[in-house]
Amino acid sequence: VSRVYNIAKAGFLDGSYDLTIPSAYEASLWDSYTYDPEHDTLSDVSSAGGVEWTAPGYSRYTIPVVAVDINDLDIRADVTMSRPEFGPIAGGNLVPDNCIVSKVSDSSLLMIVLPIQGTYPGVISEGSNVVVVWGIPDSTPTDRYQGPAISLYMEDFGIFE
Amino acid sequence: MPNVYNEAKAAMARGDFVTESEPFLMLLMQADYTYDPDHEFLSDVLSAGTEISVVGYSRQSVPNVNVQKDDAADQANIRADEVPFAGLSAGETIASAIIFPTGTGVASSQVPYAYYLLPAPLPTGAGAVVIQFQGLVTDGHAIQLLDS
Repeated sequence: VSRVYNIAKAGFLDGSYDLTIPSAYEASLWDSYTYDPEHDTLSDVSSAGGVEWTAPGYSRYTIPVVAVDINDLDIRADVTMSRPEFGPIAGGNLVPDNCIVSKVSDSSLLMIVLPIQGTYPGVISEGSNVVVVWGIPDSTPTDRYQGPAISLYMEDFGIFE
Repeated sequence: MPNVYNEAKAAMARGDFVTESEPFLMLLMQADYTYDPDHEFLSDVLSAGTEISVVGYSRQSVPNVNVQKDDAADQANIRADEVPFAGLSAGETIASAIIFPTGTGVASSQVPYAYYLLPAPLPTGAGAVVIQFQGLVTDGHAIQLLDS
């Protein structure tokens, strides 16, 4: 399940994260990183020991399309992104643990992280593209995740006079 | 029970969620309105229920709206001061309140952001009414964005 960084939660509330702008966000793959919601930028990820993938053929994936849909049935708004696709990656490389989505500009402000190998550990590249699919794992090994990248839920609270 | 309208949630992801750059307004509703997160515009709300209309009532600005990133609680909050409604005449009963951005002033295009049910219905005419936001932990949090 993807997790939202605190900096992005605040950004959703102050209007500074517009997910409908094409190519404003990019995905990258990181090893040796433990998610910390207090991290603000990719520099924080590096400082915490995260190591960006260096496999031959790898580069960050600029996300071309993000869609925001109101989901009245489930009382939420869904954010759907195209699947980050990396490569082709040379065969024999262990796919990293985390896929992180951040802003292309603004010092690479973080948005979400998706732990990859919690569900499919030990995936080795086979000379083709590595594709990350959002959402709930299904039974097809190449479709590791599908569905919305982020679902915004709200908690209950009240007021008094 | 959730209290943020679905259109407002989508606005957050679109970068359209207006907080510090534009005043929020608060309106008061009578008991015939039932919260429906599918309501997209204020006109939907006002078609489904009745706004308070006693002499002395007008929609009020929500003071000091600001966004806070709370790393200790791993959440983000919209904080605001309490909202006073003074000089309401008797004759109606307040059941809930709704906040929305000032926007165009046209109900058919204004998005309601959040709905708040009073703990108990409150008759008008018994003195000043002050609405205070009560967060999960800290009072003053009008909206909180948490991990699901």
